[in-house]
Amino acid sequence: MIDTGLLLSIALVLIVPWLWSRRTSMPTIAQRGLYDEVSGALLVGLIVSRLAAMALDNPGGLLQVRDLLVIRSGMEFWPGMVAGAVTAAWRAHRHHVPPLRRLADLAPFGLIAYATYEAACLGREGCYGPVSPLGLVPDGLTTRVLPVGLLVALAVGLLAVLTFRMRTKPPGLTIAIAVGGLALARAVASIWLPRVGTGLTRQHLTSLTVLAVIVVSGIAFALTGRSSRTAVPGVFDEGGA
Amino acid sequence: MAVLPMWRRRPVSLLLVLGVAVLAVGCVPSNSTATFQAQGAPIPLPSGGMLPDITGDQFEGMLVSQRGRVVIVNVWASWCVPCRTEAPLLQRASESYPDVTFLGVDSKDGRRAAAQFIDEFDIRYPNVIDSSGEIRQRLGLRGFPTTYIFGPDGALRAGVVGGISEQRLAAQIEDARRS
Repeated sequence: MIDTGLLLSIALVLIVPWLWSRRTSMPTIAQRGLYDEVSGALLVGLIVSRLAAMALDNPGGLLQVRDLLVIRSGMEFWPGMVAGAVTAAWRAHRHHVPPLRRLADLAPFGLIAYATYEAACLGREGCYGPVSPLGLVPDGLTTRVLPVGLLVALAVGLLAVLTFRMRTKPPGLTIAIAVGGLALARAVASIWLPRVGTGLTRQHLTSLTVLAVIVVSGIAFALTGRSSRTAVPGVFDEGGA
Repeated sequence: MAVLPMWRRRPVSLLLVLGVAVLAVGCVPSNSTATFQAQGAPIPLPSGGMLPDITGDQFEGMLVSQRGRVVIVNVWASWCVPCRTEAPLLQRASESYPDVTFLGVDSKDGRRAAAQFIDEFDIRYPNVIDSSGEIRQRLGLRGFPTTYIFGPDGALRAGVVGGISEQRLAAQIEDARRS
């Protein structure tokens, strides 16, 4: 017995970015191929995601290998993404590629992978949201609901295209827009997604935190950059990092 | 120098990622399509803290006694990893929805381990033990854990196998409450 919906989601998440990468030309990826560059980062991201979820939901299981291996029990998105990004940046550094440039080149593919996963809610447990006459009826429900997952997929997909078209822009700017946009999409989606109780969900809280960090960092860079602009390029300048 | 194919250059990482993907998929279906309608004389639910070993008839009687309310039945076991993950969510849901009945069914398990599980996660809604396996047979259980959602009319609306997410649990409860 296989959870075919989840299997299909994972397959699509791996295939769709790869197909796109085959048709594009990103300076720091084209030579070796997308999964040559990110397989290690993916693995580290998965492990950290799982460890983070265990630490929050089932700390007693952290020492149990069996508990750790049941990925289906949950993963934490942002810790995994940060860990994966750090791994990819470190790998780029080892190969004498500017880390931020590499991350900026990978951003569109990461975003399209996320959009694919959200869109694949149709094949998993369903695309949930608030009751709406314009919507779908997920399995087990009797009323139509707005498919928030599909809307997130659309928004993040557009963000992927935007960051791809920014590939000649400063890498720090591309990364900030990618991460900030993704955090915003997740935060907004959290408002509409069903939840138990009335407090903020973990997804909502962490996404708002990430968004706040991006915004504050961006403001700080903008203020310091304007006051001390010199001939030395910074991360938000062309060719920086 | 000839460039090796990708699968030869990064076999370990790719295999590990694919292996994790397979583990993520697991070996449980996500939906149970069993039909079930409880019948018989109504039997009151056990109070929190008790862990009675009951028969299939007694289980159905408990469901009958809850007609008019949405009922969430969660079949679990202390050795089941996803059960440990969803336990805090179910306890939180039982507190957030006081008009919904939550009933836990511990099956294929030992009493001491079940009691420890309940203590560990501070589960305060009623739980029973299904030592004979009658309850899981009547429900058509296909994997651990499984969460069944019964409407106020007693009809089984959905069965979610393999751990239920917060989104799905909330959506199912709200939908059942609206019916």
